[in-house]
Amino acid sequence: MEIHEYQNKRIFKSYNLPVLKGRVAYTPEEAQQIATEIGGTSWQVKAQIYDPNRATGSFVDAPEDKRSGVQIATSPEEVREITESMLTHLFLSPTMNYAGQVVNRVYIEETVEAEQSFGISVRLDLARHCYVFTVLADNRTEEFEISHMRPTLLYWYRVIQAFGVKGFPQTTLLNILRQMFNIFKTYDAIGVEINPLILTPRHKWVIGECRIAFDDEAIERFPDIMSLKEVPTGREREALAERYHFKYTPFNGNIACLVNGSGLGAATVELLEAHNGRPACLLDVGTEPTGNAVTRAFKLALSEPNVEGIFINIFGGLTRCDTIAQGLIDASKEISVGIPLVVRMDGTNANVGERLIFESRLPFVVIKQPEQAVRAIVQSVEESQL
Amino acid sequence: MIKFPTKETNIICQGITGSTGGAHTERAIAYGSHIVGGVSRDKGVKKFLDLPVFPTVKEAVRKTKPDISVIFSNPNRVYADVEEAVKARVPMVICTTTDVPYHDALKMRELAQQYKVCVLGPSSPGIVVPEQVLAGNMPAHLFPKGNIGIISRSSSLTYEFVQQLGANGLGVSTCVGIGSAAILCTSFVPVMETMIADPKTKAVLIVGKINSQFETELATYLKKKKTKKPVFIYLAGRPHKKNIKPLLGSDTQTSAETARRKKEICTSAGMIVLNRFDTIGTEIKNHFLKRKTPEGNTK
Repeated sequence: MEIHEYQNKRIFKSYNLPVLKGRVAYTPEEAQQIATEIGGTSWQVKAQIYDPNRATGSFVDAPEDKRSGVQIATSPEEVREITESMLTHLFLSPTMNYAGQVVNRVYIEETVEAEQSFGISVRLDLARHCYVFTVLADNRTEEFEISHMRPTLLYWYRVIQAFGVKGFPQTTLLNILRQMFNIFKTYDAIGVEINPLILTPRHKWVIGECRIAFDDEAIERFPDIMSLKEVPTGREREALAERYHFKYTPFNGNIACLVNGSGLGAATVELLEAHNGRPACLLDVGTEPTGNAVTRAFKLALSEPNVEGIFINIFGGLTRCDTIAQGLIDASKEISVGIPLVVRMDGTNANVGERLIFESRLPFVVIKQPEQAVRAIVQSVEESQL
Repeated sequence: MIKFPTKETNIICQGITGSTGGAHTERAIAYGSHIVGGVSRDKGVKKFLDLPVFPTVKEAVRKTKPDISVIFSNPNRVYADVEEAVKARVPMVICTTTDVPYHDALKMRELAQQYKVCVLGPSSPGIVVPEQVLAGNMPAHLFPKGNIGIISRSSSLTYEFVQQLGANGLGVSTCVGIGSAAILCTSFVPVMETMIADPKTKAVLIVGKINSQFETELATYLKKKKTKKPVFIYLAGRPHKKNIKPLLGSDTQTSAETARRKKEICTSAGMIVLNRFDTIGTEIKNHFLKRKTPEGNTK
């Protein structure tokens, strides 16, 4: 789960970290007011969106020089103008594989002169099974593993050394690192990042950007964070899937895939792509789904835009294939399918499931052999396009 | 090395009075597993499925001497349950819970290493010895008896493969699910050691994943060990594209790159890489047929 920049900064501030002065604004007037209160001669106006590339993405309908998600204003009036041009406008980014987001608030922040900029992160390293600090200094990154999950004083000393700066009180930097680690542990986060971490000409450390990458599986423990959850436009299905405890992965194609189990899902996508099929999304209902879960997932897959075919690959273990077949039959009684659908079903009670679908007289194709099933769906989707 | 269960292995279930724990325990008993008791936080429950129920693992250990504890718990509480079992020195702990928070999984791993207890998981479906023992939540009825050992990181694909083996007249000696989570307490290697030593196992099938280091670790081990038993491996890809920007310093390799390299590593360690998930059974059968053909007659 992600939260907005200003929400991240609020948390960092509560840990006594040197975050730049700034506040969130919902209207242009509010933005101007905030700029005046902050003081200074220039301000940053930052669109609050969940975007990995806010600086490179763009407001598509704005003039060439006004498209960036982060813009600098040199007067409170200009802060207001920029805010006005951002609010209610659509922000698109090449890295977002969803439709873009409408900006409904901005963050007004003071500017600061940087003598040097650094990047720093602490994260869980899944490959090495440990916590790792990464320091980015002079375009070089250096990594520091924490052994046995507890950093020692010597450890902190080595991390600080990596910054390669001398002649300023290192206690401030040590405090930043320690508090970062605190946030990381307190929120059971996947990682915490400060980038840039700025050293001013007067040798003060300030935080330019910072964020916490929350672990979705741990988020229930933090109701204050959970209450910040928003569903951006274009990601409603993702949110719905999450509510049902499905794993949802969006793709760019036209065949929605419904599977039980992540390994089977990966294999299904691979097989589909090997036969020139393009997945629209992968919906994993878990290894042992209930019939009800299959019904819900099926409806969700149908609601996918651009979907021209549905491929269901289910292997019945403890969940029997007849339960799954009944779930599909029930779902298609409630909504019409209208696009090609191929079910590959095998495992416990596969024959009973197949018979149920056959007797329902629904136009579903049931094939046991995965490759034949994949060929069938790719072919029917192609034919339906003619 | 880990110890494979037999018909005599004492098994307890933590969370036995829960709906999942209860159902799976009942199935395990029906399969022939020697379940000796359960642990439940529900106060006042002394008996369940005709089995003694204890309030703590410690007490269950004193009264029933379990070799394995199978845990059914929810993701946010499971760490405490694993901790209880490990500290009570149950020799093997199976954590079936899925979607465990990363920090908890890492703590679990540290704990298992510290106490030298074999913890399978998180999200391990357990162990099946066909026609003998079921410890965990696998659909044991799908497993034909045979001489292929399976060590798996994906439960859904395991069931798929088991069915394919059966359809080709092959079967399973022992199947161990080490878990599908990103952070695991037990890797392939300790299980592989047992598979190599096990006289009932003639070949091993590994169900691995592209994006983890466990398979690389196994390759390093097999390079040194040089076993005569054929080791087949299937590597499941990674379809998970997240919309979240990677953190500074985290891996940014593309999956295609990783897949190719991973397959090379496995091949160079003498493993037989199987590329297609739907022909695993026939490929393994063909491998054995080829080996039986006298030299000069092949092709």
